Amino acid sequence: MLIKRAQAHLLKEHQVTDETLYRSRRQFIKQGLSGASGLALASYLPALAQASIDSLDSRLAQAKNTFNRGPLAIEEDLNSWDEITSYNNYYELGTGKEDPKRNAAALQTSPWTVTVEGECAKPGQFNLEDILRPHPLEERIYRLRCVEAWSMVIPWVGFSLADLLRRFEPTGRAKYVAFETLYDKKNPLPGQRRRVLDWPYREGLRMDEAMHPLSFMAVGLYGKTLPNQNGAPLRLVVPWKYGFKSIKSIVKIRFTEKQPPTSWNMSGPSEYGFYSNVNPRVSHPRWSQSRERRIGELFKRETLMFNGYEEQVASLYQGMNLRKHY
Amino acid sequence: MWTPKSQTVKKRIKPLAHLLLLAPLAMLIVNALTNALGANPIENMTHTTGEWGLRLLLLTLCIGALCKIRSLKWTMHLRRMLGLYSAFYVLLHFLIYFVFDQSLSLKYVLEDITDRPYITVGFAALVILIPLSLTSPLAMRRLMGKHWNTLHRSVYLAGLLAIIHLMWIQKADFGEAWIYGGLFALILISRLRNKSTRSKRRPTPPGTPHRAHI
Repeated sequence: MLIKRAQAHLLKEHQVTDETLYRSRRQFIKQGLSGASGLALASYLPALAQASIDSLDSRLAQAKNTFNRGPLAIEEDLNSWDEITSYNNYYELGTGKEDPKRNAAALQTSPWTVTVEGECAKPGQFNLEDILRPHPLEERIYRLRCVEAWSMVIPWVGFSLADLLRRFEPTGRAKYVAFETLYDKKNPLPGQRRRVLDWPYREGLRMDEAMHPLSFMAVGLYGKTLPNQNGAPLRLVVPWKYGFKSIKSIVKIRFTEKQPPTSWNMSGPSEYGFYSNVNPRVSHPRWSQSRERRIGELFKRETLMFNGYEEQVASLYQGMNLRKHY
Repeated sequence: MWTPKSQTVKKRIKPLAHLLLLAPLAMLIVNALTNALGANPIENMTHTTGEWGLRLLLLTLCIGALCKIRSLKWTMHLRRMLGLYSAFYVLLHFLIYFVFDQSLSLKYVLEDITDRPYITVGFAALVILIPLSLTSPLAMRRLMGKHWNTLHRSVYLAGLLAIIHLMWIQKADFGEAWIYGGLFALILISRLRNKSTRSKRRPTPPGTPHRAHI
């Protein structure tokens, strides 16, 4: 059963402007603003007000190219849509790099429900629309560094994880947040028929990591809906950690007091730690992490500490031995 | 069963085998030129050449068992060729790694060989295949006499190391590695069984008609 909890800051169905009326209104505003100065003005329209009424498609499109460069600016070229959507690690859709794209249709993303439970004041089951509605969408161009020593630069569209988690009002006992990927035992995804990993896929963050402004929930890519092979409809992006921490197709969020079990750590505890921060100085037991192949480049490049986000996140780990807490 | 004459093997089958054995390389080149190697072409080339090196190595080892079947005895004429192509693909595999993964740096490669066991065993397999390739001409075989056989038996060690190399780079999905490992185990078992039946037969008096080995 789907339990929808009314939330004060969510619009009720009858408060939402009818789509045709809304569109004609947009049209009117656009025409009115299409003068030379009008274009500049249009970009200042309050994003929040729009967020609650626009369709997801148009919200995604509006977020395209809005990435605020500043200290997070990436000089490196973006990877192409083709690269980002044809070379994936998504074991639920197969272990080969091109399997996820081939098997993408097996993942049904609508309807989609996210269960929120554990140490929070407002747990419940929410359909995807309820999860997304209050959040203005923005673009974040992040490096993604896979534990296998390859990397990409990806323009995600989504919203801050902290903003999402705050809505559920985590209690003082919430020290960690755990996530789970879709797993229907009766109707498993193609890759879940073999026990390559202990399904469902599980990931987790320490609460301060989750609340860090860089932690991101992605729903789109290049201003379009996130393709299934990239973890549709809702995935985590934690750019300073190895890619496997950024769990895909999330169906469960749980606030916990104790460090939650995570899939790759369960599969190989000596090889994949809970933290799994990108660290060129700490090798994987079997291969070096000091360099990486940027997809699209012939030769390898140096891997950056915390994947280039050291300035923003190093303070989270002050005093911790990163060799021990790999 | 049809058995080709030695002239047919030389004039027809061998040229055809050359074509077949070069096909993976040709495909790789065509795919590279047409951008059809996917998002990570270097990884694709490394995997493809390594996989063909291993496949051909296993096929080379199979010949030892196959040629015991009378009608397949002629396959023995292909063994050297298969072994050399295997070494060729393994060498390509190493060169791609050396150039693109390690940027032609001997220092990086040496570090990898000493620090990464999967590289250590893979490199050892390559090192074994080099003297085997160099001593493959018939003249060398004659020159070396019984030492040739001793040396060339190390091809089994190369096979074992290659399997370990493959197993050791897998993250969680060992499916493919187990298939190659299983094939290698079957080949070893058949070789050992063959050996034991041969040694049992040794006391047979000379002149006894030779039995077909199966």
